[in-house]
Amino acid sequence: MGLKLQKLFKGVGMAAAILGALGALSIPFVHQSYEAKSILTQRVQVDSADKLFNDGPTAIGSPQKMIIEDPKAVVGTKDGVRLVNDAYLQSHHIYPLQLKTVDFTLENARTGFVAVCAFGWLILLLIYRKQRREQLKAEALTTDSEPS
Amino acid sequence: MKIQKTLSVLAIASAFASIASAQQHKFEIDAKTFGYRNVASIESVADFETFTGKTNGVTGYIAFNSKTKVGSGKIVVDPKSIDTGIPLRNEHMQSAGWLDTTKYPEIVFEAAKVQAIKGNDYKVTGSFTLHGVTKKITVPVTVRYSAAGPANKAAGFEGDIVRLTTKFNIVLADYGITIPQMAAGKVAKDVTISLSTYAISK
Repeated sequence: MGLKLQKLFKGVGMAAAILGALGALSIPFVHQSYEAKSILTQRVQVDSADKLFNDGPTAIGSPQKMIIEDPKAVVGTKDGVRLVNDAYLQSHHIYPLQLKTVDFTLENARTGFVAVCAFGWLILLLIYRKQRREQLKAEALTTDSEPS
Repeated sequence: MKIQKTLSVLAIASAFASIASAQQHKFEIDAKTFGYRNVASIESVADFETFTGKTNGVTGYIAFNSKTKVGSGKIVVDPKSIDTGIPLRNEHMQSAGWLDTTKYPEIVFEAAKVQAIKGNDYKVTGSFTLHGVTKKITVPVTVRYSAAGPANKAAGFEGDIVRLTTKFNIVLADYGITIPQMAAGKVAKDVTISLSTYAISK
């Protein structure tokens, strides 16, 4: 392997190791920032007939931790769960981001970053071993060629 | 004498039958006028996300006696109108690999036996048909009755009404719906079906 190519691989390995490590380390912070924005939310259908049986609005699905940034979608709170108007979300083409989707994606990203980091370290290790071997070879040659 | 006796027995029997049928009121799920008030939903809780498909396409009837708490009914849901919030997913849901709504255009529950539990709560046993597969299931149902009056009128209803709500789980594989490997983690093997519907006396 030429010296130029070795240098290139060393650069790639170092970049992968650093970026992978930084990426993996940043995951908890990204998660935290999304978690801070997410609120346990129940999508509901609001109807004037809800009062007839002293019911709240009709729940659509179960409560989920969601990130909804439009305050106009919120119609109230019940037992600590934020109620959002499903009709409003639909009419404004809002498909709320769920925290579990963020977590699932981040978990996969973490695996990817760790793999990239490991790959970078592997390249660096291989280059180091090759360089060490060449150095030992050169030292041996120098020793052999010295007059006894 | 014998003929007279037989006739009187028949008259009494027919009187009882007419009383019984008069007591069991029929309530219709009026999809045209109040369709927007009826909600059927299907929820899948998977690792990647929880998604809910919702439709107002609910029709059918409920026969119910508020005093004796005896009833029957049939609920039909239009699977073509289920909206999951993402048009592409709606397409997938309706395709031949999933609900196959062209071949099976109805999801039907038909009550066969109603058992009063407590207050407005019932256990209803009946046949549930999804994806062309019919199975006998028992589901918890809440039925509440409101007689015609100013409260009903204020809510926009003319006449007596009943509100029926239910929630139960099914395993998709039991109804011949298999999840492709590609969608693993995105769609759950078992889903929750919920229904909230108003029916008006006819």
